[in-house]
Amino acid sequence: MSSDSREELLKEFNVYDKAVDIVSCWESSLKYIYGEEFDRFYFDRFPSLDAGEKKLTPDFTVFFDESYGLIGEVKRTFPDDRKAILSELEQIANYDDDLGLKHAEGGRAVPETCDIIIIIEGSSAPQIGTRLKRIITEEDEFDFTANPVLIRYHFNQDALMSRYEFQRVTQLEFEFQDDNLDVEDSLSYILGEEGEYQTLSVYPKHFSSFKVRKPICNDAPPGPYLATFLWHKIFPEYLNEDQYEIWQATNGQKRIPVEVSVGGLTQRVNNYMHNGTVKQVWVRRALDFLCGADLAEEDGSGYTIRFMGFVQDVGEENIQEGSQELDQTRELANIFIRRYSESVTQEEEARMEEYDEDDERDDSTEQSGLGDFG
Amino acid sequence: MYGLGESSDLGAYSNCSLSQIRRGIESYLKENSRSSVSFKSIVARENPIEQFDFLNTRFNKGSVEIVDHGDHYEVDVTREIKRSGRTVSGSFAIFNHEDTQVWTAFTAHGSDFFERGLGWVISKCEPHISEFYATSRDLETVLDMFSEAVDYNSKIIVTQAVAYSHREEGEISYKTRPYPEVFRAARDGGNYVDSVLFKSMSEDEVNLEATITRDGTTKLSSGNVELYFNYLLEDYVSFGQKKAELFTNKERSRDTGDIQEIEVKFANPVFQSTKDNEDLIGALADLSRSSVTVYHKNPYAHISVLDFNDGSSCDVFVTDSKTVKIVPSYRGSTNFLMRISDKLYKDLDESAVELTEQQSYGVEDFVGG
Repeated sequence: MSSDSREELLKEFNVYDKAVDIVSCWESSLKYIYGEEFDRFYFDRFPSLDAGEKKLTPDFTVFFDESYGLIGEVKRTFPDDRKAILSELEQIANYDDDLGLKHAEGGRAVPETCDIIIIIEGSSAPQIGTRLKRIITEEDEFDFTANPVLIRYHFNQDALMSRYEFQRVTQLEFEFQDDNLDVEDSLSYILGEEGEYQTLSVYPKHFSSFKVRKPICNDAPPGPYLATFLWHKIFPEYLNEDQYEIWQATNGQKRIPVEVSVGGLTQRVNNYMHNGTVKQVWVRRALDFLCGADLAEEDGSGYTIRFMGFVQDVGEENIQEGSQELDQTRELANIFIRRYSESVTQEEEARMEEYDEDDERDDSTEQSGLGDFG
Repeated sequence: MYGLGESSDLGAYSNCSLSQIRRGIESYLKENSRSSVSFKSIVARENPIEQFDFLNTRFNKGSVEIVDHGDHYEVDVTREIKRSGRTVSGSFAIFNHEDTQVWTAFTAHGSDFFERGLGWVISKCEPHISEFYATSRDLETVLDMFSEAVDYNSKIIVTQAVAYSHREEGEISYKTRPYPEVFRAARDGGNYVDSVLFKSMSEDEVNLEATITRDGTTKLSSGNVELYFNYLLEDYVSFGQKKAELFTNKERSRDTGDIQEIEVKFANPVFQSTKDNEDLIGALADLSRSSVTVYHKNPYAHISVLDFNDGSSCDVFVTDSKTVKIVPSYRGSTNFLMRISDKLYKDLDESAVELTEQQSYGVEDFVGG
């Protein structure tokens, strides 16, 4: 496997992590600001919405009360090509429907007004806003009942107080229609004209606990990403005390076989997140990735994981010159990706490619993937 | 018994109490002026004796016999060292400090038994029991408290102190100075004090000569045994108890999924550059029996750490230039959290305080800043 492909896997890992951050930012800020105000407030991180025959899977939904809700989509940078832009908008227009959103009492309800929040990376936001405005309002290509509110994000790398910043992209003039919400600090006030287009700043201290509770978002996680989570948080649950004694004696170097079924493991991941709705195919993809890294094996009924600890300088014999940085020698994602790139067979690689193709097919009917935003 | 010899007050009693042992220590140290008694304080949520006994079923070449003396346990250890084939044997006493999770084991057998006998028992019972770590500031406070309690006119002179640099290898030794000077010099030089051998003097008479260290080990060399047990050791273990309270029962709730965060707040801006985050990642990656995953490195850091001892894990975040958040998972043993915090102190900075308050935020925290 080429070093380019290895870089690609690392990039996918980082892009996905940023998507988890962004969803966690919105969950934390909205929950802190509005959670106490509304009894049925609910931020759904894994929405699956019934729209007739179709299932829609936006990145999040927010139920405030019966008067207002939000459907959130974290988008890749919009394409230049008009046809592709129209296609993106058609997907978003699917959310402009009477869709039942989950609320805190456990059921679903259709809010009287439900806007669509589209979150895009900051640098090209004005251009995208201008294009969308032209298509939606000037050319009248779409007739939205919900307002598609365009939000740009920027990661402010101030070393002392780094944070994600969110601002409304004013080129597209749609505002949040949350006037009926009985709340002083509405989103239309904070991020809109009335509040002079303020910036919503979300710091790691705000969102870290949300990211820990739910380390996945509503898009298929790349194999290495979910694999690191399974390795650190889920597989350790399978070991008994005797096996930990073996690990204590061997500094985690003894490989301990852990047998899992895809269904059972998915259940555990969802239990971990409390009400998670991670799909079995995501878990299977992570397990197949581990097979490619020679850390698991598929048998008839499930997978056997060769579970072991990785400590510094173990299995590092193929480090390239000049790459002996800490993260490449001791850190799990890098270890996995390196092992994968060294061990994967053509057959295994073809299997992983099928998952990517499935994602793209999903994109065309349900949702957009994360693409190369960030 | 406990290496204190048969000539002491203990020999005549098969069922001795802690106060008799204290007298035994006093006579032993008087008769053996070059000897000392070594103490190891540890944290255990439950009585550790059951774990000690359990070692008999886990190891063929080691045996642990336990006698309950009411206010303490006598633990006789014999084990064969695998590599050399030689046998280490001896006994130690262990008792619980009232209303705490801290237990102290002690023996007058030499350093060989202390490390390979008593130390072996303690290490093999991890993570059910945990070492605790005092910061050098804790050590200084223990000496402040001791000096106030003993005698207003007493003076504490450091005979020898060992300090280390936070980020680099290297040992610095200080000799024969009043203790505040030693701690100040270490602080000013960006170092932490790892151990202090001191003499407490009252009108030119030594009332105590003892050693305190960061890792729960203390040593009594000479002087008033009651001063040692009632003041120095009690003050010292109070820091262990504080840590125990902070790091026990912090796991995520399996019923509700709720998490508890431990915030480590440094007085100094420890994280100001990418290099500082890398130092943190390096420190965590260097923790024994564990592995790390780095999700985010710069400028905010998010690292997951897994402990091979018992499958404990946690997420560590640098949330601003002075703050690290530790978020334990469903398994988050005291032992593991204690090890992580010690590593942060040792490798980064000791100026931290730990808090467990759960924050709540309002709209003003997100806008207008």
